[in-house]
Amino acid sequence: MKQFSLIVIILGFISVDYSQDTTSTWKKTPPFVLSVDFFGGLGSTNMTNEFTSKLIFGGHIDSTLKNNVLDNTKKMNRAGFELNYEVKFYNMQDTFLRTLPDYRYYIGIGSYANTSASFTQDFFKTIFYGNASFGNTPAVFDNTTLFQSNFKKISFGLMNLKTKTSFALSIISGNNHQLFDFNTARLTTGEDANELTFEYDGNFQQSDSIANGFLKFSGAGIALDYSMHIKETVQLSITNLGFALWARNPSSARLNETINYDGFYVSNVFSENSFNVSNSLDSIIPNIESKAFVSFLPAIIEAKKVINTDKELQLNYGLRYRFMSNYFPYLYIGGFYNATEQLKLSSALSYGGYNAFEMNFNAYYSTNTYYIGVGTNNLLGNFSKKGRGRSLLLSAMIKF
Amino acid sequence: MRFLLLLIILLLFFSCKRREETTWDINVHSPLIKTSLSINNLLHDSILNENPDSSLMIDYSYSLNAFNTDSAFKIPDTIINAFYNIPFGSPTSLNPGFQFANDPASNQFNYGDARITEMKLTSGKIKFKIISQINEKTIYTYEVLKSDDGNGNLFTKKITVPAGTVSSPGIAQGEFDLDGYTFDMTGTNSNSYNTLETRLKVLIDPDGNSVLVSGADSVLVENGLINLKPAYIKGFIGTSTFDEPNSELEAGLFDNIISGGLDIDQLDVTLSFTNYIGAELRFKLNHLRSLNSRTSNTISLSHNIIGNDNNINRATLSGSTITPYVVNYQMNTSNSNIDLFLENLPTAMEFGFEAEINPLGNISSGNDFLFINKTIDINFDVMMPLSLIANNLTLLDTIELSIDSANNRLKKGDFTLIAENGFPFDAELQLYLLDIDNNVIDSLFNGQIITSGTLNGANRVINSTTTTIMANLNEDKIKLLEQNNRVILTSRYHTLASSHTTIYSNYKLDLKLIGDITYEASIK
Repeated sequence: MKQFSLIVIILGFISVDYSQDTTSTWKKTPPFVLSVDFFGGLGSTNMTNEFTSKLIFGGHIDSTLKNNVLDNTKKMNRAGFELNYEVKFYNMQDTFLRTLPDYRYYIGIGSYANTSASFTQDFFKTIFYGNASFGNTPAVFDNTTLFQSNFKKISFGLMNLKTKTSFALSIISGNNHQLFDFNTARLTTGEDANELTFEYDGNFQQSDSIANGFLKFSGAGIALDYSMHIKETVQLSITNLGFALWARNPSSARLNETINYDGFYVSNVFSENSFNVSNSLDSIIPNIESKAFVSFLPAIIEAKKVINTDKELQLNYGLRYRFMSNYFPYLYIGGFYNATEQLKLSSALSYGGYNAFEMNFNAYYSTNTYYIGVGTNNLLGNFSKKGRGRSLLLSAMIKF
Repeated sequence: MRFLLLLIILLLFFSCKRREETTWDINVHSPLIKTSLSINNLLHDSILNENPDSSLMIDYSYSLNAFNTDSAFKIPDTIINAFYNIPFGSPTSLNPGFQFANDPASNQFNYGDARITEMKLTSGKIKFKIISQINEKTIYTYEVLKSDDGNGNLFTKKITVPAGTVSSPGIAQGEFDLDGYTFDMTGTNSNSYNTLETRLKVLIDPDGNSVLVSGADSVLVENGLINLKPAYIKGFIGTSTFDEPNSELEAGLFDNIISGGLDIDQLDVTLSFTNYIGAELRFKLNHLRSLNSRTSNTISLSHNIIGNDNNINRATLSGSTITPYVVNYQMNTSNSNIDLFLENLPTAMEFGFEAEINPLGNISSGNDFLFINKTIDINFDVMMPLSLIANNLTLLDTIELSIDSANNRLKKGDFTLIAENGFPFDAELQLYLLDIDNNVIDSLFNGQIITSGTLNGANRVINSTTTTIMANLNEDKIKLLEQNNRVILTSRYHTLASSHTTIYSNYKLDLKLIGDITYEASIK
């Protein structure tokens, strides 16, 4: 039992995926534990899997595909993509400090990538159909936000086996950060398309667009992970609560502009060298100064029911939210089933995130030496082109 | 098990890569390009001058390269032979270093009636061949006296000839450059002409052995002056005549005009002769014709200069500075048909002339000069107010487009060209599409006229006129453009007023192209 609880506690500290509790037949506390957690998923309120697949992996998006998506498109829509993983090494046999005998420590590395958008129907139509269908009516892009964040972390954490709390401090290496946040924006095509006018008011942030690879430190920061149990019923955790400073070749501006475009000027149509696309674009794109900025990381907050490893069948529920990521609060409710001593199953109905209603399914298997869990929070979407999301959760733990 | 887990994770990461481009079609209705054409875009601004009242004047110079400088003075190749017998009747032993010839010579050349006293060469060679029957190495020193390489040095060359016998003589041959040498050609006493003073010394090789020679032994020295090209010559350069019965030169100015007519209001042409030669010149222009190969029309120039002898005085020389003599002949609509000559829109000009240098003989007492790079310049300077009547004047231009079919994203489109015309003439534009054999098989515009600006009573534009022209580029036409990256642009101009219309510097044609296009957007 102690071993089961130990694994539950360890896995309970992991906040990468949605639900990963299990039981284990481990007989005694292992000296060392290595855990790997991975979550990859995408979802949208309007874009089908076939559409997003072509958008991400390539291919031609034809009219039929666009029209199917347009039928699902409402006034405001959202879409997002997450790819997160963490690898942790736990030292379970030694205390960190002699004066803190209940504390054990761990070291971890992780990666968090998120791309998301909330956008209007007019925005979708402009991007995928063009402006011709609007005529003289403005295309409205109010409250459209495009966000991208990618960073790596190296963590050092402590966990208290008695109180089941843990906290970790991480050094953040930012790969890239982009934010286009339009409070108001509209594109108007003038009469007979004599002129295009784009009026917008919003924020713009972009990190170094050139040197933005792994551990390039385009941005740097710190973050805190924290987890606690409330009355042995609910586990509350927050991951990546922190910030990053983007100081290398950044761009940042609060923009309130009206851009009028009535054609690129050619000084002499008879001369090949009188037109330069780059210079012409510079004349209409506003000048954004290089300015360092600080951004909060897209922290993840979760509250979930603590699984009782003695019960055969029990209720399972939880809530997840990701800040700054066009993310709708994600709520799930379902059941957890202890099928055998090794095998556990869970399933739930959920709403939120980047999608609407979804069905989750997870399976867990453990032995004396390892544990493995696999699942998805969009069971139907994983197998249907017409679904609006896909995801995969993987978690594993090895003792040695 | 742990390895399998790791493998799954790695596969997931590496499978998340874009396999190909993402593309989709969008329909964009947008302005594309805009431009403003002034007269400087239609005519090269280097030939345009602006008057105080903003009217424009064409100032165009055309050089007639009628004179072949090689014909002005040519130096023929000359061969000089010298034969040396050993002056000993009986066999005699000669010691090393013994000099048995020291032979100065005056070599006078035949340049017709020219009497050259000084000559500088840009290039030329002395070719030599020495045949020796002396049975020891011999050293020949060849000097051209009264020569200067530009640094005060004489032309001096040493040649070593191998030993030889009567039956098997020693031979040395080769050539030396004379580039940049100046030669005083007045002879030993400085009172002659066409003469090069030379000296040949021959001695037995000082480092060799004594040699037995007799009267049967001999040496033959052959010299040749070849390919001499003078930089300048001084003296009396002789009389020479040139007869060019018929020569044709491309005109260049009207090459793009394929049809239509032009009526010029006024025209002033200056035909100038600039004589850089230090000799009198007599010149007769027998004919000058304007040829239009498109219309097969020929106009002969009528003016006093045609068919009459014209005398041109000599240039003067001070140090190395030439002061040319210039003669100008004015042609205008009063004294010639120069307007008809140019209104023929010539593609070429044909001329015939005769010329004579020094028609009066040596009247300068040998003080002529001729610098080969500066002889006679003949120029046409055209001053023409840009005031004309254009009668469907049509220009043609072939435009190279670089449309790469692999990267072309334009699928099809309807284009609107909005023209705001501030010129006092109607214009019609057409773009012809070609197949791979350069045959015209389609066109772009609908033949609509860009209407002239509004004119006041003085034929001056007071308001621009706006015209909208439509064009359709369907998929077939785009394929044509991709296959053959050339199109033919024709523009036709027609002035409305019956009298000559002046063009002012502020006239312009504003064009804006708007597209309603289907375009393939992509993410790479």
